Amino acid sequence: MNLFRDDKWPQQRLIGASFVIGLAILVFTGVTACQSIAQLIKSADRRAHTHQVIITTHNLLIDLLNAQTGQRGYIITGNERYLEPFEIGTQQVGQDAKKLRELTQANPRRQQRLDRLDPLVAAKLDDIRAAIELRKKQGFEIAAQHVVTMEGKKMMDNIRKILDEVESEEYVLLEERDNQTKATAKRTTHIIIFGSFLAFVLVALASFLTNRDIVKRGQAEERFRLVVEAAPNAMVMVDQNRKMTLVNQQAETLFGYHRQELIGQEIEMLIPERSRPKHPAYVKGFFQEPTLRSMGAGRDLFGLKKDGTEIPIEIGLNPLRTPGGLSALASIIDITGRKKAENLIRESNFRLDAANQELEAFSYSVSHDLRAPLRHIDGFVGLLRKNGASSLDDESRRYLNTIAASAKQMGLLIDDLLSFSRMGRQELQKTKLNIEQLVQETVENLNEDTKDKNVSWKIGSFPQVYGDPAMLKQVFINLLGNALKYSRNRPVVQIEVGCTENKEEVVFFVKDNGAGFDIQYAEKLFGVFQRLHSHEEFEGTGIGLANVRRIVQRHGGRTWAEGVVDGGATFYFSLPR
Amino acid sequence: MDELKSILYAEDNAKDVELTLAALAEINLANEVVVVRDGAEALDYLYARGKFQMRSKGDPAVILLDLKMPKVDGLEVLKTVKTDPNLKNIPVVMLTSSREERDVVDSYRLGINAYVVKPVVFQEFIKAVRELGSFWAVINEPPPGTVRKKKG
Repeated sequence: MNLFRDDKWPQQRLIGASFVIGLAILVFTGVTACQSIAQLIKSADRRAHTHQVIITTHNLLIDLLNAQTGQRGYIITGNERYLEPFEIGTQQVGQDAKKLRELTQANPRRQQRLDRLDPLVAAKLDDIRAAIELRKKQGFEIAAQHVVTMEGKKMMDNIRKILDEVESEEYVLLEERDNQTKATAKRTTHIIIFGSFLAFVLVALASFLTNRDIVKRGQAEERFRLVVEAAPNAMVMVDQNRKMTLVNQQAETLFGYHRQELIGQEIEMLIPERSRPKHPAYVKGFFQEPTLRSMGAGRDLFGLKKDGTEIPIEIGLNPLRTPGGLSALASIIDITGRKKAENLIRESNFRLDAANQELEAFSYSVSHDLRAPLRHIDGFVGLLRKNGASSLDDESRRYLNTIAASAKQMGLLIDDLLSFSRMGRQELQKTKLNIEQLVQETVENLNEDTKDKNVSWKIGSFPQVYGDPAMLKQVFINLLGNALKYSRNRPVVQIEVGCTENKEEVVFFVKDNGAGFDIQYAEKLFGVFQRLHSHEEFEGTGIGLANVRRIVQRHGGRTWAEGVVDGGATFYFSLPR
Repeated sequence: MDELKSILYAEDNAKDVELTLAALAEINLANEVVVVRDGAEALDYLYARGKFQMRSKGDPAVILLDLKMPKVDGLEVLKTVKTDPNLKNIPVVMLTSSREERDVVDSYRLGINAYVVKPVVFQEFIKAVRELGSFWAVINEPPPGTVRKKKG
């Protein structure tokens, strides 16, 4: 359960995409709207232009009519005052025509039309002027007659027709433009509506997702808080300014503070004063290389409780990326109990070492001091034998021999005991072993003593094992030596050394065709000073197999044996892989 | 004038002394032995002081030392002898019942010439002493300064 990385990746992408697309739509809508407005403005201009054209055409007509009216008036009254409107009208007409031409400059067809118009206008004006001249010069009758001939009217009608054409054309164009504008406006409206709707949807989606994200985050934080609170260890979260931002119940209990006393304070508040100077540097180092690790490797760490006592602690540090930045989450364990146990072990070890040293001294003593009297016994018996050679009878000599033999036996026992004790105390030095070599060397050593004997050695092959070479050699010396010793009454001595393996251990065996033993007493074989034969039958102290067992046990293995009385024996020992 | 060659034998246990002398007698070296009962006396003899002030001059041909002796033990005598330029040429043989590795190591570290473990079995001991004597007294070329008794 990852509290802070809950599927955020695709989510964020989605939110981002929504916002971006929404914005794009808005931008597009805006641009479209602007375009539409521009078009509306252009349309309005066009309208104005159209009106101007229409007005101008009307003006032209009016001016023409004015001129005509003036002419008529003059013709009728002969009053020169009526020539004013005519003059003005004529002038205006010229201007109007010019204006008309200007306004329709862009349109060649219109210009063509105007081309037709101009001469007509000119002709009309001439006609009007002509009538005026007639009046002026020839009087009313002649002038009236001129007017009656409908020429003037016809001209006027033609002019009107053209002007109407111009006008209607303008209206047509206007309507076209209006329709275009309407269409555009409609489209724009659709775009705005649809776009806004879409944008709205996307924004809604984005904000929904964002909200959900926020809620999830809030939940995640809540879960985090709960987890930290419920943790069995004291937890303290520290920001990069070394201020504590979060502590849990256990932390309060461990250090004896209420969390209000801790939040916002520097972490150094919880460590002994002597450790405070170096601590900020450690914190800095951690944030520079934030990895999950245990703090203060190799150092003893202590925490400082509110009441001033110190407790030994162990701290694990975990870097956390929070929205506010990098934090360190420290998990703190009170190791007072463990320290006590460690101390106990240390003390125990001291005592063990002391005991071992005592034992060492004891052995030394034994080896030196116990042997001396034995030497003396044997020595003086020897002297006695020499001195009293003549005066001693057989029985006395036998007694002396017994004494000497006993002393010798005791010497052997002491040696064996010492070696047995040493085997127990010595460091086990485990290395890779070449068992074949060990066995070979042992066989060669033993062959020195059995040069005259007919011994058939059958030695198998051995896998790689680990153990103390000196000790395991001793094992083989004992086992092979025994095999030889207890077989010496056979004409042909057959001794086999081999092994079997399984997944967990290697089992070695030494098999002989010697005196064997009663399986009933098998367990006694490995006891200290335990023997199954008397000294007359076979010499020995009974410590060899005890030594073997001790050594093998120290290697983690087992020892056991099988035998048949007078049917040979097989001794086994195992070494773990 | 030939000086008597001597064997300096330091041993605190009287029984051991008797047995060793008996063994040495077997090879006719008993007369040459000067017996001291501890390390202090051994040093006194070597430096011709104390009760040995009046002894005849000359270094012993060989020193036989036991390890464990009161006052000054074998290793200390060994150390003194081997660090004294005047004495360090004298062969020193440790004759002791300890087979402890520590003792052997220490002895050799201090410069012992030979380390013989006294066997419990007397016959073996005699054999060892014979061989010892044969080596040191007969075969071995003594250091210069030691005068040999003419064989007679």
